[in-house]
Amino acid sequence: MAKYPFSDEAREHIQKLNIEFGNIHDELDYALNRVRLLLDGEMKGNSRESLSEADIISFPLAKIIVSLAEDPYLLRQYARAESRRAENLLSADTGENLERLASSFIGYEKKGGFYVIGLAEYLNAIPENEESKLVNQKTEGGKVYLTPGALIGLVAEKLYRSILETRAKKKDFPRHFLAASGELREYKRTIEEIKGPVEFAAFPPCMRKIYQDLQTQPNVGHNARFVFSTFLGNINMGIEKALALFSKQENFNEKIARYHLEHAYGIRSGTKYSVPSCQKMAAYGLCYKDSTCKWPSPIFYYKNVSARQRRNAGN
Amino acid sequence: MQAIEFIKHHFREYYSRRKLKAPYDLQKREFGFGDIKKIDYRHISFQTEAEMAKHFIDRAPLYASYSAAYYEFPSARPMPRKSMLCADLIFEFDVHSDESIAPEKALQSAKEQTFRLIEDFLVPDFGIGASKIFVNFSGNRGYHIHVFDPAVQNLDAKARREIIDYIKPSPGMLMRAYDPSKDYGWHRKIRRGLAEYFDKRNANEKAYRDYGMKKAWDTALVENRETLMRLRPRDGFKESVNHGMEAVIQKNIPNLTADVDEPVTFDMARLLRMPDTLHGGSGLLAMTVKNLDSFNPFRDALVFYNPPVKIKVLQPVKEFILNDETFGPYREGGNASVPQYAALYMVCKGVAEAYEL
Repeated sequence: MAKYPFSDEAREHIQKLNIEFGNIHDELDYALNRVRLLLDGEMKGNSRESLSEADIISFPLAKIIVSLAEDPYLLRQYARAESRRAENLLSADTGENLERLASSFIGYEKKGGFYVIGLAEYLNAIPENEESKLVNQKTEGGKVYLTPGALIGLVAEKLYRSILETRAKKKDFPRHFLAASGELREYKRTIEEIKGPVEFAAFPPCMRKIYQDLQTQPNVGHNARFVFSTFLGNINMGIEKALALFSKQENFNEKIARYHLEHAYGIRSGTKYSVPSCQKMAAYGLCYKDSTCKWPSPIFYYKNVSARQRRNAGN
Repeated sequence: MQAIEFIKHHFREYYSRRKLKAPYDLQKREFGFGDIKKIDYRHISFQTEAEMAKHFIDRAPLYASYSAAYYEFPSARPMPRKSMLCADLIFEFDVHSDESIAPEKALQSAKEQTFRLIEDFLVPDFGIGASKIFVNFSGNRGYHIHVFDPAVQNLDAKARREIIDYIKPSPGMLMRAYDPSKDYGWHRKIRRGLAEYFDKRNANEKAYRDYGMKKAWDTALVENRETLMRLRPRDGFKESVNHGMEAVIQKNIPNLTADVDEPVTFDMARLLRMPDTLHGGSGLLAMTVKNLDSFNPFRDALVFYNPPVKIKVLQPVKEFILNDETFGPYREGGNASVPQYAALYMVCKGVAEAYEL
């Protein structure tokens, strides 16, 4: 249960505890710590993770304080980290445990080594990676036949989506819950805030590569440019500064480049493009992974590495 | 006489004569109409069938479209205020370029694609009952396939994109996906394609040329034959094998996929030609096709059978067939007296004008 605090069993266990939010204190600190570890990429579902009873309750509490922070991006980050952790744990677990847990999320039927679910149910929760694509699956008569690996991916995605639906209302919780969520917001700000000059030293290898190519090669591909623009937007580099980085391109046209940048930054539409995940970068052929890459997206790399650099500089 | 005046007169006459039936769930649909463009104005909704029919008689639009989506507030704007409830699943096959003004041949290929979509994908793989699939002739250049099935109506745009990727995958996507140890779906189809290639090159060493391959790719494929047919290497195949595989897949794809017009399927808010309405680009009736096999739009979608009309030809027109009768060729500036449907067809196509109503 501590391993999978989102299972039906764990939920029932917690219901039996008859928890009063007013009496929850240590558990809340523990939950806050859970969120921090997950955001830092230090709780990835390794077998070495030591777990205790407190991990069962820390999950719903963590969801509450993340939701109280009213930051959709934080919620997504947290949900993704919980989902990855679950995926890793399930991949190393027995088929029996997988099946038991999967029943908390999906109605499936076992058939000849496959887990069979309805096509629409699969499509509406399809994980975003190449292996999960429908072309990879056995699809017959409106049913999708999932291998154990594909079932794990789907469970992780369902978990991700269910966390995203968490809606905690401030008026329903005591003040110390709000304080914990405030602390979380503050924590997120410190790991994310991009102070002073953009720190090129914290660029992940893929972005460093595009950056260098932009300075040394006349025609960098459209994908690379776009991805780089989304990256610059997300590390809050000013448009003028960003424009300068593209100015050595052979076909550089300030008006057009500005238009593209503003598009990527979300100035035109109001929706900022997020930086593609490492998986997508690899699919675009733009991944230059090295041993320093420990995060699922170039932007997490930047945020964590630049935060570390700032901490070190501060010490 | 002005072309638009002529067309509108006849369209109005048709809509007054034939009572237009409301589409399913009329009140939840958005409508759009146009005379100059396909859609000049949209965000229209109707409460009753009579109200809708009246709009057609009053305005006699050249083009009438409705949403595949069902909305809580179909006339609200901007779009998000409409509050989408769900949407039918739609596919479209369009004929893009054809020289003749009545492109039977190209429409024939759209028909074949339609059959492939239904018989190779919708029914066997997606499990959709044939009674829930409707094929509509769009009135001019193609077919729409409407799936009215609660099982698919709730699919989101992302899920619909996934469906496109399944029925029309790119060779690269298939190549990355291919795992010979899996004997189902696309894996099996690719494996068959590869087996066929090996058979062909056994019979003729130069078969690789028909596949647009380099000799080196062929060599690489042969060297890796075992892995290609049995087990996928952990780190994927090496580059020349990938090139060869991609060529084999590329060669097979036209026969295995359905070449749908993608945005129509995943853009759920799109407006589509409304069946039972007239198409201002042809004068033909957009209609639900009962028997696709024998359907011939240039015979079965004609509605104007009144006495012949005198027309003046504005530009050279090649021979074309309507209602099993051959018309033309006509030279520029020539006069002719043709059946009403042929007059409307030519005026709608912009190649003739009518002297009288």
